[in-house]
Amino acid sequence: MIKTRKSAPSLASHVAVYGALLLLLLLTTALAYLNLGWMSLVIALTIAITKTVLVVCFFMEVRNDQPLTRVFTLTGVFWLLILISLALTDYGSRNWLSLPGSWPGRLPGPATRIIPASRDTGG
Amino acid sequence: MPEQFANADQREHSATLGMWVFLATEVLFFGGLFLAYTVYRWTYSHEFADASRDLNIGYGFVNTWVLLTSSFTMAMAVRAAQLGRRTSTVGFLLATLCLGAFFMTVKGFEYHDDFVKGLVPGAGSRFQGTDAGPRKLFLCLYYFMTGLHALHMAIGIGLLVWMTRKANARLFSVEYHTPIRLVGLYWHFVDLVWIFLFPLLYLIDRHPGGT
Repeated sequence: MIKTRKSAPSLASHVAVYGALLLLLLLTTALAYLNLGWMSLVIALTIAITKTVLVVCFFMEVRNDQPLTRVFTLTGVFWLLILISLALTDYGSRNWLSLPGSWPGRLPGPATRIIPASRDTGG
Repeated sequence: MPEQFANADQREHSATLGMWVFLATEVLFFGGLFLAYTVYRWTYSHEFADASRDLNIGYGFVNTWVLLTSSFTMAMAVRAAQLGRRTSTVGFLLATLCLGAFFMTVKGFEYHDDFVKGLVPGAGSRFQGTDAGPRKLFLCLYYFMTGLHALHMAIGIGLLVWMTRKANARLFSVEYHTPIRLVGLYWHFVDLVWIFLFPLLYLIDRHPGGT
């Protein structure tokens, strides 16, 4: 059963979300100047995801929308996670065996780093 | 009312769902680029950090601010349409439009600066030799990701012009303003892409004397 017409979101909610988004922008920029090692990336992505949730739930009104819209929204995220996680399991495991096609494999020069070595630099 | 819909609500819900299906395909469209970025950043984390510091954070920061503000004005435009306030709908749509145009202008100046400084992957690049590969890869990803985003911005600005004209011509009402909502969803999505591009391209490793 489809609900009757929903009411418009309140002005206060939009202003509060906008304020929160700007604060998060200042926070992520300021934190980028601190030496936090690998935590920098985790923090930057956590802030970006928080901003996304705010925009999707309030500005895109998924919070008040029909349940099916939420399913479609989450499906989009789920497909993205499949794309990234399965591709990374491939690249992450390619140089377990010293076979042609290992990653990065074909790129010569001192800039070349294999994946386990680059992990040591983080912290 | 087209005959396949039972009522106005069902019509709007169907349109909203269709828009979300489109946005899910857009997520994967940009997702391929984000995946390529992830793989190369993982492999060449030092070079990507150096390359990120070459970019001018001022442009990135101002543009993020501008886009977040434009998302706010867009949400306000949709709200005004829901309340049937034509004048403020048109006003907020125009504000969103101007902020979008401002973003594109800043981006244009930034690209110009990048070209002048040789921050390009191809001919005229500042980076030469066998070590330069990862730096050029970063710049390729930078131009493809921001370029595809800018293309979406340009389309969004076009859609906003169309919506502003329709709203001004009194074609929307409290009962029917679905096109503004859908353009709003699209605009917010483009903002979301930038919310990830900003930290991933500009903020990798900004601290003084970074590795």
